[in-house]
Amino acid sequence: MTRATALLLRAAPPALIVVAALVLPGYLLPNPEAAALVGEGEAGPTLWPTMLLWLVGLCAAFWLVRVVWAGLRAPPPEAAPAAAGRPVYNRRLAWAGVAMTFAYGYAIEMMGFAVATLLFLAAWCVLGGIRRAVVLVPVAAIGTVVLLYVFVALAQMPLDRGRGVFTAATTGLYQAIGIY
Amino acid sequence: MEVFDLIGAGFAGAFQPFNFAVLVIGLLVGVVAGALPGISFVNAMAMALPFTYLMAPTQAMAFLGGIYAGGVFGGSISSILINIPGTPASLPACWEGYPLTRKGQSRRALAIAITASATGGLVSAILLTFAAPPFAQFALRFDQPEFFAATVLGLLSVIAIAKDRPVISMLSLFIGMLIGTIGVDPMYGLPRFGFGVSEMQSGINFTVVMIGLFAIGEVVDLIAAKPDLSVRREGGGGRGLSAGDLWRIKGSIGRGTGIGCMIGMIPGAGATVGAVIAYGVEKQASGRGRDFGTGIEQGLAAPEAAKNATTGAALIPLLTLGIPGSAATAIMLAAMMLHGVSPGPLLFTGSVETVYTIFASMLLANLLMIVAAALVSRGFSTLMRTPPAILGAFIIVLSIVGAYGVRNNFFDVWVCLAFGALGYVMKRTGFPSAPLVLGVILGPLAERYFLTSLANYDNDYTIFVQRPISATILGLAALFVLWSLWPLLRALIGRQGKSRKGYT
Repeated sequence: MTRATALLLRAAPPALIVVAALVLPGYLLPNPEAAALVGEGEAGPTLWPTMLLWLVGLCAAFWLVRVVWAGLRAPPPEAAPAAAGRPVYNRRLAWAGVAMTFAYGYAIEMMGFAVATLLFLAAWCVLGGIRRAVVLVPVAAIGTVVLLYVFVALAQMPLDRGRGVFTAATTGLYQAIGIY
Repeated sequence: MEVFDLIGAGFAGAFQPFNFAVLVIGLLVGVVAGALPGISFVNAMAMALPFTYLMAPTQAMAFLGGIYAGGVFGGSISSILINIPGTPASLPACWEGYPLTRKGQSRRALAIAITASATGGLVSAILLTFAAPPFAQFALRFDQPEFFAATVLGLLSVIAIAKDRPVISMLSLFIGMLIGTIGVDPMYGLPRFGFGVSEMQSGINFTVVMIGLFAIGEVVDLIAAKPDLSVRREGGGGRGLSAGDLWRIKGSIGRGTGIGCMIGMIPGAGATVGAVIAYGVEKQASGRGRDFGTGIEQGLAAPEAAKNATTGAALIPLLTLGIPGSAATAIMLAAMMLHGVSPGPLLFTGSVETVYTIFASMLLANLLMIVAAALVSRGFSTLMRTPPAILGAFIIVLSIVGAYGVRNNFFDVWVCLAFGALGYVMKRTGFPSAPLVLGVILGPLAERYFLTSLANYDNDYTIFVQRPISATILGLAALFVLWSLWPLLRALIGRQGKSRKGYT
């Protein structure tokens, strides 16, 4: 990585925050005319968020200046030494995990909590390196049933049952395990 | 005498079979969650929130109080046995506890940690019982400007505590406060930052933000890190702790407890700050500072006492002013609000029995913690055989159900997932998440107190410095900021001085 790329990567987050602080005031109220309802001399609904946007912008600008200043004065980056003995950190696995949580959220709405949870428990275990069916199947199946008993039967939470065939499948499952 | 009657009534309430059972379950859940690396007691409290819907307010508080007290200690088990802190507050236990394990004295190290933590927690619970009511009496004099000033103090003390990176901490705090402004404003009812999404009008719930940042972000990091969780018990664990040994470390436990009680009352400080400060003080006070890091018992006892001593003390601003100083107390606030209980000075006049049952539960929790901690410590090797992937999978499911359960609204699940991804990024980049969370919690409170103060006092902006209590609290907040920014200012002034000298 060159010095310029490293500096750019470090400066990007504060720069983005500064830009956001400049742009966001335009999105504060859906109907800016509504602010006219506020009497003269009164603190309106925009005062507090506008003040915070200023503070966010100032802090981010200060951070940006410091990053750029330090980046320009720093010596050229050297290749990082190999981390001998340290556990390997798998960043791709982490991002796959993030994606999987979002997929689970989507699946709950589509397939319902029961089916989505069963699939998610199994999929997450596979992602974590568990491949044996004798572990995967009981963890996912028993885990889902226990969670359903706790949240649907005991806590009576209105968890999603999914759409289309999944609604019928979830209801059938609830009847099969004695929740209904 | 009346106080002791109330405490008696509190204990009678805490010993009700169901109350006692949820307290014990909470303690065990807390110790286990604290002991599992990557799963903090805050995650456990956030995930436990939906279960409290089934409980009465006192039961919910006993349950969460149990998780809190047990969880703050639980982190030390993994620190001592496998050199991985279960919670950030248990880091000093890695520095002194793990070297003791390597010397074959794991049993002794655990005994010191359990005794010191229980002592700190118990003293803190006693402080809560006797200091909170008079403080609440004093807080009855507070009007909106005073509540605003106290909230500002809470917000700014977060920055003061992050002395090494004040600007980044400030930025994180202000971003959190800005997130707190999303939704309908408290005075005029106008929606803000809606971006055309109708669900945004109901705002971003702080519990959902916390679950995302702390639970999902941590689990995702855990699956990628794959830590070594094997337990080493060389030398069979060594001998236990005798009364004589305990007497030798009484000073360390006393100092740690004192520091923890003081730090705990400061909003934003919490167990981690208390433990690290106690470790630093003990390094100076014990006379064995040079040997610290090699398994010095005083260096283990002081931070252990300090971190649990913050638990009771942290409930003082929560119960008397309704201002949570940490993520854990914020979840307790959420639980109280979900049950229609509003913490603040009026709680001490309207619901005295509830308050004293909470006090009694905290006292009991710290006593029972000794048993719970000893049990979990013994079963720790078995616990560590559970693959992190299985634990992580269930934590994510519980987190999502927890986020959904706050308002039975699926939009909250998406918010939680988004904050989960953000939490992961923040963790990897070292951007502090605690100020952001406190900003989301305290920001809306501060705005409401600010606007109602102005509305009640003819839009006079000087009202905050005209009233003596409010002015004193704001002065204290200003001192906090100056203190935190002083190293930065001194460096800037020093640099300017040097460059001037260079010219002359």
